[in-house]
Amino acid sequence: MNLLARQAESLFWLGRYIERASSLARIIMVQTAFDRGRANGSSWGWLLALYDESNDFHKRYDEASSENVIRYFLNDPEHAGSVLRSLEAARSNARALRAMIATDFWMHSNRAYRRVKELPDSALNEMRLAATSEAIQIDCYALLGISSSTLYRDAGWRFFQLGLEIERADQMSRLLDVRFAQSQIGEADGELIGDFAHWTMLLRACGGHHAYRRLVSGPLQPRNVARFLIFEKSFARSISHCLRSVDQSVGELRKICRVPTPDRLLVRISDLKALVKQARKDPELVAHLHGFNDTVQRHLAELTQELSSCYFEVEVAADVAEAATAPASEVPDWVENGQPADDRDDSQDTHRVTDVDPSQSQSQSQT
Amino acid sequence: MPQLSATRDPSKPALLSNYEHDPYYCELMGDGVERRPRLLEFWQRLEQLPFDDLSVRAADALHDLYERGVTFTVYSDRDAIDRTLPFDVIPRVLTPGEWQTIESGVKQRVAALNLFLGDIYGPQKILDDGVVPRDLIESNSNFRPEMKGVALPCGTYVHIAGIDLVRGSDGEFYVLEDNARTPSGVSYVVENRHLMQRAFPDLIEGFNVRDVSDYGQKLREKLIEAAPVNSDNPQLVLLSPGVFNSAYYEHIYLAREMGVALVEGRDLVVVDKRLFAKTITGLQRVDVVYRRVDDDYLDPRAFNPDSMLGVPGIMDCLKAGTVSIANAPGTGVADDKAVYAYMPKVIKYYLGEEPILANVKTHICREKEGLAYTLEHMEELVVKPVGESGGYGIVIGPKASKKELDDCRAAVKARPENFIAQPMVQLSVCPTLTEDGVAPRHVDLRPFAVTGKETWVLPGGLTRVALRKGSIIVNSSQGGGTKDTWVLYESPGQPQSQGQTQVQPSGGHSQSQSQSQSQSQSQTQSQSLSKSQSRSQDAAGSTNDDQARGNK
Repeated sequence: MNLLARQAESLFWLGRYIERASSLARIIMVQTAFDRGRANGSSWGWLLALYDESNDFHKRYDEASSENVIRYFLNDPEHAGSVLRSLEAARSNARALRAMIATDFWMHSNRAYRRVKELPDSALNEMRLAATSEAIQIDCYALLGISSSTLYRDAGWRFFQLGLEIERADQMSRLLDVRFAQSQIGEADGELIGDFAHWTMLLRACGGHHAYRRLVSGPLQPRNVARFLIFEKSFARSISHCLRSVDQSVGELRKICRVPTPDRLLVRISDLKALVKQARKDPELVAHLHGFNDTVQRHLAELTQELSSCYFEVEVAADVAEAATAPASEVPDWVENGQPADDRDDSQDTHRVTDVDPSQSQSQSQT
Repeated sequence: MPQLSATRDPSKPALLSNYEHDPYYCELMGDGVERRPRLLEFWQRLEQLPFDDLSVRAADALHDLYERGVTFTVYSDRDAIDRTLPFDVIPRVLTPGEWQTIESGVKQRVAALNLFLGDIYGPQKILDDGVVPRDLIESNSNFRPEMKGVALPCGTYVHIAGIDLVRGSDGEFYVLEDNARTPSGVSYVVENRHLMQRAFPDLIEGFNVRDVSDYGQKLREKLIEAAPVNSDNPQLVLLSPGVFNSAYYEHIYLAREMGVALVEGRDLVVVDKRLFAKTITGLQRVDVVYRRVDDDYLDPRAFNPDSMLGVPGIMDCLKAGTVSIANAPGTGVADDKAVYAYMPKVIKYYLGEEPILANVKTHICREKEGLAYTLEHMEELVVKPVGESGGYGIVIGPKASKKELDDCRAAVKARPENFIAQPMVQLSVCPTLTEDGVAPRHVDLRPFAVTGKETWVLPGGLTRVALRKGSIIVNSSQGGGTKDTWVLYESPGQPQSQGQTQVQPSGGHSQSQSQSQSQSQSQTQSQSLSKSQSRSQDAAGSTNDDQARGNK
């Protein structure tokens, strides 16, 4: 049987939530380290601006003290965008998927969740925060590692990857917007891009410092750091790389998993790629960075919506049921004494199918 | 024999030196006079183990289960709390001869249940012949008129059965309850074995215990056998109420073992009397549904209209013959308490055989002799109202006051058809690890049988143990745990005659004999009835999915 729509959706969000928790933990970790070296440490208020959560925050907290903001983002059970809630959501999705994920994954998602849920207050103080957020980070890496080592490489794997890469691109675009967020709350001075220390922090926050240094020597150029984080195809967290992975996953859905990929979905992806391509030609990109980030985030949200309407919400109508046919026998060609599935030879993998409707794809796999 | 992982300190008393099981039948000692050679061997091995080591390893093993998520789930406000079912490390051992009796008895029982259901939803001969009273069936709340005249593949209604057995002080097995709806607990049978192999290799090694791990494949095979006649390459799914169900782990386990999709009601849809799953490529045909959703919640169009767990229209598919549902709707009428009393007659009616596994002697008050006996011996009997569930209205003779007995007598006289009466069964015991060492604790046994064209019985079963001293309540919410259940292979070179001296060979068990035996038992166990009454709360052994209700 094909992957259930609900399972595909759960896998997609599983990938997103792990990446989200990981990204938040990393931002907190780097900000902590970054804060320490400064004469008068900045407040953490910019994080609220970054995620556009000021209103929600002030419903429950009086002041944006570093202590409050850290709690809000790390383990506030009322805040849907906290690391805690992200891990909880990841675990809920994992629970729904338990019949198809490795036991090890379930075990570790429990551990990761419990670690954050049971954090003592002392783990959040300035002395311990770096270690705390690093441990969370490592937990998330472990989850990603178990996933890629164990997840069955069917369509479900591609949905997991799609969730992860879309979230990763979204988080990068937010990270690029930190300076803007800080200026919003009056913490960045007039020179929006000139802060050397800020861009070093950004690089470190996404683990790109070393990679950047391999490519570019000499004094750190803010505009080049930004372009690196957006365009460098070999850097796993760059927006370009994420979009390439998205493209690849969708291509594999079509070519390897025989899942139709409607034009409207492909159009969304090519629009996004065009947007980034266009930005690359813009010599003043850094000056327009906030607008660019906004557009990227909007496009990613639309792409998510499109995936949902293409795969997660299944249309039920009598004529659709007519098209639904018996699934082909799925005996792999390596099974001895099994009926070799002769429609599964390699030549078919290169067969390009664009926007096939379910009936066509079904009849194809039946031949 | 393998090396033991630790050896006993000779200065301390042996593990079993204070073990005293009288007056109950002990699962490991037999009658205590003539131990079976295989059990004796195990007994000796057990005696070599140091208690402290065993306790530590037992605690580790339980933690291991928790980490692996072999849990049932309890819900509070926001949180899902996963709990493990307590596991006792000392297994319950069944000899080949004992197993033969159980296996053939369970097969016989399941065959009779299926023939009975096919009859009462079909020609109703057994009712016409007056063997089972018509109103007992047709007025039963678990009787589903929707099933009348629906032909099922292989004539199988009860694809998965869990027949609850207890063993009396005479050493005989008795059927306490038939579970023909959605019996659960089989995942623990397999997980307990895996745990035993992981954590106590020195206990199990060399004993030639029959494997239980192919349950999933057998189940799949049997369910496919029972697919609609015309379906080619039948597609099987497991329908779960969802993650909030307390037995969700078992649904996961079974879906994985069978290699089928674990679906919820919202994943399925009926179009034009055909059932489909919603997949990423659109709708896909489904032919067989192993459902772990109760009848009431299966189809809001046919049954409870408020159910969100079921699939609207799935009953139409069943009637149209496009889908098989396991177990079929309406099987609850066959495992009903009142119908239970008629099972020996049902078996004889359809199969022309005496029951291999006896019922606990049941006096049916709607029958003249039963009524007379009940009224006469009420102070030593347990009187159960048949229509009620949850143990409501049960009167335990030996514990009841004179007024209660008088009231009960009046009630039974007024409406005899509403009552049955049973003697109290002395549940057998098994050595069990407690804080104070190894002590006897009461156990029951739920073997699992799966049926397509024919019936296969998993060699083993769920042994539930009442961990509290003196208690015979085996369910997890009240201090119950489980044990690994070993069915031994015939040992090559070992004479079997000794192993079979205690058990009736299959097929030859006389009902009247066991009845007289059970009647002569002493009546000290008032708890024996609350066991079945509290069973519905049991995560590992529930016939009703409580969470399924709470979650609708």
